[in-house]
Amino acid sequence: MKLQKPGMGLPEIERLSIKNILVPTVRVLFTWNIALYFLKKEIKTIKALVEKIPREKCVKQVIIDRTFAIEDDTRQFSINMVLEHLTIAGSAVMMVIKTLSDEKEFKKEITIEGVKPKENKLNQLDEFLAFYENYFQYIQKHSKKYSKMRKKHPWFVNFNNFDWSVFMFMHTFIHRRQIEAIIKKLGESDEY
Amino acid sequence: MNINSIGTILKIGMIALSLIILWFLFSSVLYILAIIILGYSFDIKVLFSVFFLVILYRMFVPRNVFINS
Repeated sequence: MKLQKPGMGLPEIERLSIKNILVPTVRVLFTWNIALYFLKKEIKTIKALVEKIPREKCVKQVIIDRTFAIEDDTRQFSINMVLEHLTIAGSAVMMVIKTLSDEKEFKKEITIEGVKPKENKLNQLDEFLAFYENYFQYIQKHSKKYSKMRKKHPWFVNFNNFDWSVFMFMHTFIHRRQIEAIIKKLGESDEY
Repeated sequence: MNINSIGTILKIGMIALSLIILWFLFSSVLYILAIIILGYSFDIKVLFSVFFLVILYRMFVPRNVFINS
């Protein structure tokens, strides 16, 4: 099965729904602390899901049906590739939040291709958890002041530092759903 | 649309609903404090007005959530 190239994006209806409905809604309903609370819950959920899976299964790539808000290329990830992507993308988002919070321009271009996983490592879960622990501490100490500086997400709109912190939760949640779909597919596909 | 995607959208809806309830509770606390301090009687229409104002405030302060430039 031939998948689309990385960076091809979402179906237009999905992208426009997220841009015009979901983004304003989360801006109204979320605060920094609410986003952090939900993100912590997601990381706990992911940890509980992945710890039950034998490590060799975590690097097995399967093709799943496209889940909400993930692009076609992402359908072929293993569990550990999802964790790797969350770590790479999370690190990039953290840098963006730091830069925007200092009211500086984030000059580096953010690309979907640039945050794709490359290694599919066996011990990815440890690196993933270590990164998010670091992120939680950063956000807990953050002033929570909204930045005037913004950086555009490749698919959506200009986000300030707060928007990116909420995106961190939404993005992790979307990929947690992907992990659940991968686990289901692993269970269907062979001896697991 | 597959079952996982439908489930994701439903979960997003549930999160939104839980937060709307949270903001309603916050508005209720504000309103109850106001009626205790000012000595007014409770009026459910005023409570919903307070909630509506809180949401309006969140839409436009500190920035307009619909503007992205």
